[in-house]
Amino acid sequence: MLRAVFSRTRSEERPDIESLVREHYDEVWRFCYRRVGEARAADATQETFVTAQKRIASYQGRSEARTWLFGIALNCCRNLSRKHRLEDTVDWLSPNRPEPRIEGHQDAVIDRLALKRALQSLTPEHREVVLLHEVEGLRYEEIARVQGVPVGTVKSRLHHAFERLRNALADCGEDRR
Amino acid sequence: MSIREDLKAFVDGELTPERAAQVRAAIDADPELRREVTFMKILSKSIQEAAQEPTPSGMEDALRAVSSTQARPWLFARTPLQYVAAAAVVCLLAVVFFPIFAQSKYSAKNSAEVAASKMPATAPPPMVERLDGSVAAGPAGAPAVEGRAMDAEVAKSYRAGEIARDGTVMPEFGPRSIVRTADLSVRVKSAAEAQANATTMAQGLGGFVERSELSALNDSEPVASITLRVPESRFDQAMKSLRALGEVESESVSGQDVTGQIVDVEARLRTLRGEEEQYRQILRSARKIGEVLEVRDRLGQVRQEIEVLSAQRASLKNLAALSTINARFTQRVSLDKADDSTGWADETWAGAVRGLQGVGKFLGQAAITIFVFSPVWLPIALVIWLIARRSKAS
Repeated sequence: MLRAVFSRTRSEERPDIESLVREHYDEVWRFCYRRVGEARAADATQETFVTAQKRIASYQGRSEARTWLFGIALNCCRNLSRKHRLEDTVDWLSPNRPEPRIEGHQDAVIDRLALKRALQSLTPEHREVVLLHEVEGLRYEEIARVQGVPVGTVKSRLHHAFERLRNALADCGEDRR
Repeated sequence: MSIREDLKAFVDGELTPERAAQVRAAIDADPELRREVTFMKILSKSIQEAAQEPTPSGMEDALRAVSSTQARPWLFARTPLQYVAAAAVVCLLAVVFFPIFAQSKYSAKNSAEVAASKMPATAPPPMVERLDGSVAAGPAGAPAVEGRAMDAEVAKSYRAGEIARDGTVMPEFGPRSIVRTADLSVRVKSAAEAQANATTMAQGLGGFVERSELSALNDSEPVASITLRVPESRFDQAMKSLRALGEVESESVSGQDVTGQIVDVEARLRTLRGEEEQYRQILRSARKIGEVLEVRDRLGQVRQEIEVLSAQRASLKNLAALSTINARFTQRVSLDKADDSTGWADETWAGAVRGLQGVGKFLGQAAITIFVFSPVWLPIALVIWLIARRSKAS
């Protein structure tokens, strides 16, 4: 998609950033919301697309549009967090959603609050990789591009994140099998 | 990685088929691993389900923000690396062509200055007095006749020796009188032998040796110097013979045209002789003792001047008739032949040392060049490094 946009924009004098905004604004906004909160999500998203507009000429099409935009958004969110000294909290968990059920494991329930605490106990790198994979739905290679690390590092971080989550939930007595 | 460490990747479908088969086999064989896989699935699902999906806002603001950015002219729609590359090319062109430009500018300026210095000063042409007494404007730089400028035709006649300074037209004078002097330095096998040969040669040509000297301050380089006087017509032949005695190290020949001087002296002699004849006639007709004494006194002065000018004329003619050659013979130092049996080894060693010196010289020159040009390449490299670092960070 992004290649089509860029190939179209390269033939013209003016890049068509508006198409990018319309197609990916919502997911970039939610990406920023989960990192800087709802109050600053719009600012972070706008900053992301303005930065993307400046870097369109240097984009080489090695990744999908969403991955490329998430990489820019991650940096914008970090800069915003640093600038406003935002706390890294897990406020993106809904407290009112029904407990999830797994087929064949109707008895398996995880308390939402315990889950939040467990996620809070992770290091920022582990929490980030969990967000990118479990919530944003990125594959390992895409996560590696967004974070700028090797795929092996992503795999290792996810493994250790889930291990720590399991231990944290076990401590809370939530590891029901 | 171990089976347990690959469990999450197995659940996510991120393993290769071969590795996934291994992990699956391990899970099937181990109930503990099966429980872990189940928990991972539950946990993953929990997180996905728990994530909120709020309604985004602010798209219109974002659209306005990107639309407000004006389209940059093509000149500015370039990557930083392209700017750096362009700056590097500009610097390189400046370094290469600036010396050439400066040199050509200096040469043009220098040529202009030289041309300006060669141009004669514009001055009004002098007024000349012709032989017939008329006065007219003459060419600039024309020789003077008794303090007055001479026109072109008169100057030509004067230089040809056809007229004297006073403008008197002279009878046919004959060939030019040139005083030729040569200095020659020759390296010979034997200085004494070369000196003897030169003496014999000069005498054979009708000349003579005016001065001869042989010195041997040390046994390694005896030197012989000799001054020869040879007829002017045999000058070239004498020089050729002297050159053939050895290797010519230096040679210079100069010629002074004394024709005009001789003509002047001849003219003054004629004047004085005429004056002498007049005094003789006065003396013959003198009756009083006082007149006789006075005339005899004047006559004596005139004769004295005639004697001086006659001697001067003879000297000039003698110099013109016989050219002067100052020759210097330096004996060649004989060197012992090198031992052939050790020559190739020494030559090889010397060649290898020279080669090593050449390599060292080249490396030194390269290092100095790189250091001197550091104000050019260092900022560019720094900029490239900073941009690459920023790109990597982003």
